[in-house]
Amino acid sequence: MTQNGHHPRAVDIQNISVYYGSYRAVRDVSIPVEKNKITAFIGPSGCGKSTVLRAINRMNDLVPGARVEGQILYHGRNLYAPDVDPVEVRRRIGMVFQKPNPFPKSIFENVAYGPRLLGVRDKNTLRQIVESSLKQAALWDEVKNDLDKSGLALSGGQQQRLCIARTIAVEPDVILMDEPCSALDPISTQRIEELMQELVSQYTIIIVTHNMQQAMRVSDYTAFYSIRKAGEGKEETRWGELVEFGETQQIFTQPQEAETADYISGRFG
Amino acid sequence: MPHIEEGVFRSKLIDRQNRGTAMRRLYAASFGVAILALVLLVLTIVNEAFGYVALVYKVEPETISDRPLAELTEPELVALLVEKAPGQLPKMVSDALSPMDLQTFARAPLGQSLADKQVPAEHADKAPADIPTGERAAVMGQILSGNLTQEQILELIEAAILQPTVSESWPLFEGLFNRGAIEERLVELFPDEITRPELRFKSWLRLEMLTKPMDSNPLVSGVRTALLGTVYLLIIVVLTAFPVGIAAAIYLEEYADPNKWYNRIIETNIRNLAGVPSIIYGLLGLQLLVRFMGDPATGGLGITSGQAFGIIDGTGRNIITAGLTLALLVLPVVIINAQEAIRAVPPSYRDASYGLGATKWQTIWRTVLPSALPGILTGIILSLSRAVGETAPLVVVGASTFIVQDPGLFTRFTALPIQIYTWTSRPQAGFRELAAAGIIVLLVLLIAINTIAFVLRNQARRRLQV
Repeated sequence: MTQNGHHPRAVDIQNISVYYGSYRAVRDVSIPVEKNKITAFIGPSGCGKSTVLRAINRMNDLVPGARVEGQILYHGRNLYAPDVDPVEVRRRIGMVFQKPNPFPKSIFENVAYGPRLLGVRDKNTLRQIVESSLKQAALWDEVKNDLDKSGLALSGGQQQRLCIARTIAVEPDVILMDEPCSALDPISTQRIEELMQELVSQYTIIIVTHNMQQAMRVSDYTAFYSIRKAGEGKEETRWGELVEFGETQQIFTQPQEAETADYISGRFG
Repeated sequence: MPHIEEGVFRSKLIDRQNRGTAMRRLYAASFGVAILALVLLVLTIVNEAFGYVALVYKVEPETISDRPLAELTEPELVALLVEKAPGQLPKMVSDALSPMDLQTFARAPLGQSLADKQVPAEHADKAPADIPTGERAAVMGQILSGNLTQEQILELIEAAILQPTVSESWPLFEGLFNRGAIEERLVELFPDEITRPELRFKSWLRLEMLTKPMDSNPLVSGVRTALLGTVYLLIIVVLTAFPVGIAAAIYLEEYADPNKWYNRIIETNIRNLAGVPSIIYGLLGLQLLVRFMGDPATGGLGITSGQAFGIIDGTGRNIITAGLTLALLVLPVVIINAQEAIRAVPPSYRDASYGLGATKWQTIWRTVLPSALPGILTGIILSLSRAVGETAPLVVVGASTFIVQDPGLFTRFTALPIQIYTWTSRPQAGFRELAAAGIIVLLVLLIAINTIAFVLRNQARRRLQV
């Protein structure tokens, strides 16, 4: 799994387990995420792929009782070291959510929200940030005359691109995408996928997806997770584990594990 | 063989549809009852606030003029005033035209005390006290006729010379539809035709009510002092209960750990407190704010009675303690509504904000509170309406029933509901009707407050929508 060890890594997930209270939801996941590449997390529902994703920018900290063991290295620093502020982590590692969730504010204010948080007050600077972010998110031409319109007035696909622009506006270097197209129609999905291909030259992208074709189309690396069970009846516990990680080409054509082969050929999941 | 038989299904279907129709009629009937009750309420108030009166004059108009007063010219009216009430004229001028009180007015040059009014040039440098007693009334009359309309002078004559009082009063509908019975009653009361008063239409609701203080004569009594009291109370409630209530709701929803037993107890009890009868809050206010924090003469701390701020004769029965009592009363309602509103903010907004690197406070301030604002304002509308109408706690805290001076923060005070309640319980003719007029003032105030809050809420809501 470390055959790409000499490539620069944006995020290095090392042997992490995620707990909710005493329940260990995800066990011993290690994934080296390469810089300026798209890494896809796939697997059946409940396999822990979203949980791992949310551990990377410490969104799990917001869930009462959630806890991470192991370490996630980012520029050589453990994100879970005691002196790391999760607020800073979330600014450097941005996130796009499953359902487009623009704020009930204007398009301009949606994109300016992040820079304002960081203390940018100057109108001109904000305008420049908004314009360049919307351009990067391939939304500028569609909304440049309607910046005062509510973000909620846009179509689903536009809303999701607005959310991407909003994420870009705080200048992260990693973007996490949690099933960003699951609420979108095929044409909007295609636009987001094209957008990801454009963004990857500047950002490292990790995407969770249910759609194997999507993983195949957009990603350079793929991590396949699955569910493990132990015990019987009331004693039964389930948890997620990483089954296989590798170049997307290899995962989909020559999977090393039988379970991966079963999943990608549609035999379960 | 299907489990549901076709025939049974058919007959049940008709039953089900009929039940739906019956329920719809029931709902329509309930709505009708509610509307009817509202219409009756409005009619009752209107019936009382407008009506007919028999006025008895201390001096009959016929005895001071051989023509009806309404037909007299302005100079004739002024001449009447100068002749019949010479001593009262300086006070009339001072009350009607000068911002000064009577004492200062008497010693100040007319050009100064009536700076922006018409004053005869030859008297401008004289004070009323400097004018010889014999001429003073004539000069004052001149000033009155130069500055007041004929109608206003007629009113002055009524108040100063005729001095009417209400002998009998009848509600509007009785006067309109049962005139005969009223006339008979008048004949019975005043057998002598010469002194029998004529039946007059009277609107108890007058614009001057807003500017006139209370009076023992219902014809001239106003609600100014009570209205001011109510407005001050509302200001205190707005300034204290709302910030504290919203802050408490933020703490409970955003910071308090719901799994801790003490937080659960606090939550439950806030809900219980919202249902506690208001008189209990009155008792709390009396003990805590009036006695414990109030008058040092009865062992208090002298904070709410003003001794700590240099007020000498404060008793603690004032706007401050009453306002804070009302604030305590509405606090649970504000907290609960704000909590519900905060809880209803979609979690996806929080996720988005945190995901961009917002701190908890930034997320609350920039995303949660703006989204919760319409709901919070709904709670504020509810609690302001409640505070405006509360009477019991004010009685317990010690509202006065008769206040002539405008209230200050540490003085005795009254409020509209107290005033209305007092009026309804007075036996003299005219006060019940005055109470109805007071109720209309209270209702208009209430509608005004609700309209403002409603507009604010809709603006906040529109800002959140597409």
